[in-house]
Amino acid sequence: MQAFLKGPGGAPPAKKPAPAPAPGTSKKDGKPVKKHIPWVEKYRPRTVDDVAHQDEVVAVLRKTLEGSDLPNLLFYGPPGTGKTSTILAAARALYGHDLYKDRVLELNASDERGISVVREKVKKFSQLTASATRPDGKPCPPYKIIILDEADSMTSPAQAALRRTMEKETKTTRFCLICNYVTRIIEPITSRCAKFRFKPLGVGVMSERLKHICQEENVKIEEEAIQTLMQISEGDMRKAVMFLQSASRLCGQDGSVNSQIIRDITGVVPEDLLDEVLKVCRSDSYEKLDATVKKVIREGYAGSQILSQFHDKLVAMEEVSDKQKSVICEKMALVDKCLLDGADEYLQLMALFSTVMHQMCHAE
Amino acid sequence: MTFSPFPVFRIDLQAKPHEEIGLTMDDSDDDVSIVKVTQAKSQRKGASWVTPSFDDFDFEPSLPSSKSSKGFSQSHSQYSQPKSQPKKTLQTKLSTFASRDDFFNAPSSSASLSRKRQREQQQVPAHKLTSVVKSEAQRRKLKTALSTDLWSDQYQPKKKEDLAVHKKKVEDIWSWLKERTARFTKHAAPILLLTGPPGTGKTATLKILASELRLEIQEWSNPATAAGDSDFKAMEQADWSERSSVDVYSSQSQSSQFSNFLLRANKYQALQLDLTASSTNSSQGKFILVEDIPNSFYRNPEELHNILKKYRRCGHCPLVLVVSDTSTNSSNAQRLFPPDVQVDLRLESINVNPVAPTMMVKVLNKIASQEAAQGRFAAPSARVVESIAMSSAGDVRSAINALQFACRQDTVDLNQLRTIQKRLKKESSGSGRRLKYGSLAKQDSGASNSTQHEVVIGAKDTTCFLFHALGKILYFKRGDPAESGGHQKLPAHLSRHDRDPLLFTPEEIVEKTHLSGEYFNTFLHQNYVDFLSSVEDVERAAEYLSDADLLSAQYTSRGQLQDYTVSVATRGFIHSDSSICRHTDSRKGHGWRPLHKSQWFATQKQSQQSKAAAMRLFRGYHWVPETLLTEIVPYINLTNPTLHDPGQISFVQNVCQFSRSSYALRPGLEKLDEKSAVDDEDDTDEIPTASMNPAFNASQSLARKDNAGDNDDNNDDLPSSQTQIKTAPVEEEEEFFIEEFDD
Amino acid sequence: MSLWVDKYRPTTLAKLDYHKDQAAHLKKLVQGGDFPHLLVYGPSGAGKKTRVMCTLRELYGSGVEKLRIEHNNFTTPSNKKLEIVSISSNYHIEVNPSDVGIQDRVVIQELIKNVAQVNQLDSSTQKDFKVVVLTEVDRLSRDAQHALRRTMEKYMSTCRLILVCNSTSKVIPAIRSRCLGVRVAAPSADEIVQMLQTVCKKEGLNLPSELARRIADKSQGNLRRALLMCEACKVQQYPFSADQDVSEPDWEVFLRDTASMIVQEQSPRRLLEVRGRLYELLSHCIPADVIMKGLLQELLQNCDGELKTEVVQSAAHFEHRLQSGQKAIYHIEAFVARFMAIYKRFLEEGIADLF
Repeated sequence: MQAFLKGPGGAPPAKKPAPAPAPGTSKKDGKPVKKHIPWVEKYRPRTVDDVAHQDEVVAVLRKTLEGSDLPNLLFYGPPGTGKTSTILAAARALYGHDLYKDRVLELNASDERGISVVREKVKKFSQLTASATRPDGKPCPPYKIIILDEADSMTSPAQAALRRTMEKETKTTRFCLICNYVTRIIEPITSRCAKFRFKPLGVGVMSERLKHICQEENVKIEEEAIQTLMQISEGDMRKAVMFLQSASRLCGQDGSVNSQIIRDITGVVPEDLLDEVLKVCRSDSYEKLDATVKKVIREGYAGSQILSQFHDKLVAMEEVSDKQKSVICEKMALVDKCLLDGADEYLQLMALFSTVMHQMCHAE
Repeated sequence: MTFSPFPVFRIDLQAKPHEEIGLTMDDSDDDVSIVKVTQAKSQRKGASWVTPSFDDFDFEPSLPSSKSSKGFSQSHSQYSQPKSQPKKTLQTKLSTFASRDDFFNAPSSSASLSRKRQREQQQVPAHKLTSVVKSEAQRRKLKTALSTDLWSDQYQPKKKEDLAVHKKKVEDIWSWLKERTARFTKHAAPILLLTGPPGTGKTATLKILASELRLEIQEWSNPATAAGDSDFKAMEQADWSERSSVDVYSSQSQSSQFSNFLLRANKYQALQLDLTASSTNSSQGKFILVEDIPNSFYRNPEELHNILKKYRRCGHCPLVLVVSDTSTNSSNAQRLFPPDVQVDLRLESINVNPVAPTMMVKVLNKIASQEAAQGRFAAPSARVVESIAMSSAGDVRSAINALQFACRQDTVDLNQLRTIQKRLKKESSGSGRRLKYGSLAKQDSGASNSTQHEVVIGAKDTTCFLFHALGKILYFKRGDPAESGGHQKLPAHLSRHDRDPLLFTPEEIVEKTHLSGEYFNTFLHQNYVDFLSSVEDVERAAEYLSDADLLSAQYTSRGQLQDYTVSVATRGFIHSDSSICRHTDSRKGHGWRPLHKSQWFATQKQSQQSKAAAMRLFRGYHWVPETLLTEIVPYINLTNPTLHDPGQISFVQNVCQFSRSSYALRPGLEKLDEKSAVDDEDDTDEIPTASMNPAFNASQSLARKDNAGDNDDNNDDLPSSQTQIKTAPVEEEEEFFIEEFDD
Repeated sequence: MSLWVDKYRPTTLAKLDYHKDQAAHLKKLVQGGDFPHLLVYGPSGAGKKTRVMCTLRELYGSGVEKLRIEHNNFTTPSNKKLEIVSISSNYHIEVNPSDVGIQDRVVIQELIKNVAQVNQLDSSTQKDFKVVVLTEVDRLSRDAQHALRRTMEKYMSTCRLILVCNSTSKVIPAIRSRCLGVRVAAPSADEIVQMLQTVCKKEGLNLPSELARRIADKSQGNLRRALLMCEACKVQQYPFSADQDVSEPDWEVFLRDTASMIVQEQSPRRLLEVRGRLYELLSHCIPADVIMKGLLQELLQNCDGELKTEVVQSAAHFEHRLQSGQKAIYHIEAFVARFMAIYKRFLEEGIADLF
């Protein structure tokens, strides 16, 4: 299995011999039929050492593997930075394959995680005793681990119910919460956990990694496409790998992945369309703006995508004064919220761009 | 010892001849307690084994420390002493037990006292105690000062003339009873439904009329469900009205017990337990009285209907159901017996109105004067009586209780409230002699220190009808800022928002309607536009209403934000009305306008039904509902492809008809009148199941199939779908003039 | 009932008339063997459903077209019974989870679990997965979308999902990253004209190009609507004339009249009349946001530049309220009131300027 690189500039390690049969294949009628495992799963880091880019976490976890105690953990950070992979790898290393099911409870946002589940399932699991030896005599940590993935979508009553259990069962159970925004976890829980921030991956690391995967999967890719991919994924490894896989599918075996395909897949608005919109805004004609926005909508691009790209463009624009930019940005924030609430895209975009038009043409 | 709530009266023949007969309680028997009527003097000597006399019933060992405790400590020491009962008081005592209920009710409470006293008795031998001789007058005073009898029980009406119910109603009931019990019908027992607010004399009327017509009443009372401690069991066992019906120990459901009771009461006579009742010998029939309807029927009225249907078929004894209504929205009578069921069961219903104020005052005065004549209290002033009458909202029982409470000597600390009452009444004396029940809010008009207007003891919780509440808000009045201190003017740049203070609090008014905030808002929304004169006002008010809806939209936060919803909507509306900024502004040219019910719910229901019907009819094409209804169906209407399903055809036609006349008056608005019963909104969030029938009359629209070709022509008459969109035909309502709102 | 929309719907990827390169991509995808989850999005009437069906046909052959209607019953954890209707064939199942309202999470979990756990018996198609098509994904609740995402991961091997929605703004990023996004843009006016000509030729009708162009403009990029309009025109009058009226649905006419009423007079009384008409539209199941957008379009035609921005801003404001609030009528009425106030002010200022 491949692994994450150990840091920027490190050479890729030697290929580890793949266990037989190769994952992703299974025997069927004597012929290996490729079972299509998503590359995200395939190239997930399997050991703690592989997650080298996040230093503090790895240090703590390594110490734990050597025998010291594990605190309650709270992993937070942007998506696709390795949080779930890390804790899964650590758990697997701690318990080995056989004990894993007994000692680890995983609850995810798609499982039932209301208060009743916290009260019953979690509590029951945490009350089980955990011995310090494995069946085969080797030592193993005398505690269990409960992994709560996407903890920020748990309701606060459920979180409050959780904290008491955390306190009481601290001898036999450790909790590991994974979330994107630490502000959504209630204070009492964050104070009981050791918080670790997962940083977004750096450009160099990511590009090396992607190139590696391409090599493994025999995908031809252009240099520019890798750059586009990284720009779009914004430090999210999972997103990048997923886009890469989708792009390779679209090209088939013979084609090569280029920038355009990446853009098609990810739904990025082409630059020229945005430029057109900006031009129309400067022209101070409502009718033209209307027609242009309608055109953009008809292309099917997501409103939030347009918004975020436009925002990047606006911030960089020189001819717009700071005061104008601030007014426009405020309007953008409101429009973003409205879009999230499900408001109609055409109306919201018209409202935004008419503000832009007004600012550009009438305000100083 | 086991205790039975109704004492058996046994004359003690072993008493010495020169002793007079008295009433005492004897605990020597196990299951029978003897109340012995004895005289005072003879009792005092050595009759230690005789249990205390009747007198003791007057003395509550657990009376609150009363200020007039002059006789109290003496009474304590008099406990263990056998009491003597002068003949006079004996007779007055007996005469006050006019109705059978009291006969049994009073001793039950005092019997428990007697038990306590008996315990005390055992500790202190009687001859050791000294008796305190008091004058008869003193004793009497003492007795009544500490009397625990409720005047509402004491002064129960005994004759038809005493009844505070309207004469005509009494006549109605009389005639029904006479007629129905006279004819013996083998099957189809007549059922009478007697409704009205509580405390208006329904049961009293029935009992009096029954005694006058010499009818027996067999009454049902709800069984206690848990057969718990032994006292309860014994009490149940002894409850005579139930004895004829069921075995208490079997755990039967309330409804089956009820149906058993009905069947058996119908068949069998009641046991002759009532020795002194005059109706035993010449009872000319009987009827069954059900006042206490088992609770399970409120949840599931169907069961009750079934039982009554069965009873109608096989019963012959007339049945009277008494249902007390509350004055708030969902009336029990409506819920239990909706109109179609009433027709089905052939229920005759007589509705007793709340007692008229003048009648109420008469009754209260009579009682007060009677009490005053006995030298106990000063008669309360006419003002007080009037105020009590007015605050009782037609409930005689509560009015008498309030009067008793107000008159008690030991409630000195509550005197203050009485005087406040008096003061308030004085101020509003100029408002006219017309007595009207209403909210006490009328009294605080102009009264600057009217702090206590809600604390009048015994005042009924005045609930407000939706109609009144809406009217109060829509016809709001402002007060003079000079009168209410502390009103500051806004700074100059906000001067257009300056308004004089309101005379009322909108939130309180809405609270009194017992409706949820957003539900009230729908009615406000329906009607507010009529009351605003300019578009700018409407714009502002509409925006406030939109804000209010946003506040109540989230399911999770609805509980906390409900109050704000109402505040925002009502105050927003009031503030937006720029034509009434000062207290001197009057509404010009706006007469009284009818108020309407909100169309929103009906529209929602309609659209959901149509949607469900559409999805059902056009299922095979897997279109998204929005597309289906905005594009496909209208174009089907225009293009007329061959549809094979008549349901589809009729649906398409119905859904695509819009009213042609561009200035159609608002159709289908239901007027809102005073007593309109409004239920809380239907749960419009639930998606109707796919099996719901289309809301349209298929036959009606099939008749229009031949017109399919001329859909595009201008039809002048409103197409048939209009009749379904209308919620109800506009009701004719009588001119109800709200006297409070005219200027 | 066979409208032209259904009769001439292309059934295979090869027969698609526009966005042909996208069709080629889809074909490659199917042949590649590693079929991912799909998220098909685009404006209404652009051809998303058509393409989904074509892809399915490509995957499984013509057996996919034998459809049957099924009623599925589920029980929620709170013991409430739900029923949902699905259209399925031997290889796929299509369902709209928003039909059940707020309990859509249960539907998603249970339904997909059921489908995924039944293994494909028929091995002749060489596909070892079934397809679940979910429509109106952007109306799913947040809970349901999280549930969906997990389910997607779990049952990847036996079940593929094709999600159809109008816009991806309301789809959580987690789902977007697990699916391959297929953006189906609306056809351009020329493409629509071409389509119309093709269909009319197949019907044996002669369509003047002017009329075709007018229809294409009026449909605003919605091919389905264009075809329906064309069919209605034929019913109205054939042979076609170049300048004949393109008929509109009744409710659109009604809406337009309502808008003209608003422009005509601005007073509380008129507002009440408008309210009555709005209620009528609502009771005919026209969605509230459609009403609002329609009103806006008509009203804007009566305003000039400065006014338009203000009107659009308030329309956006109230439409957003509409989505978050409960009672649509409050917000539509507030918008109408706002427009009346703005317009009245504008008229008064115009008159004042004259003097």
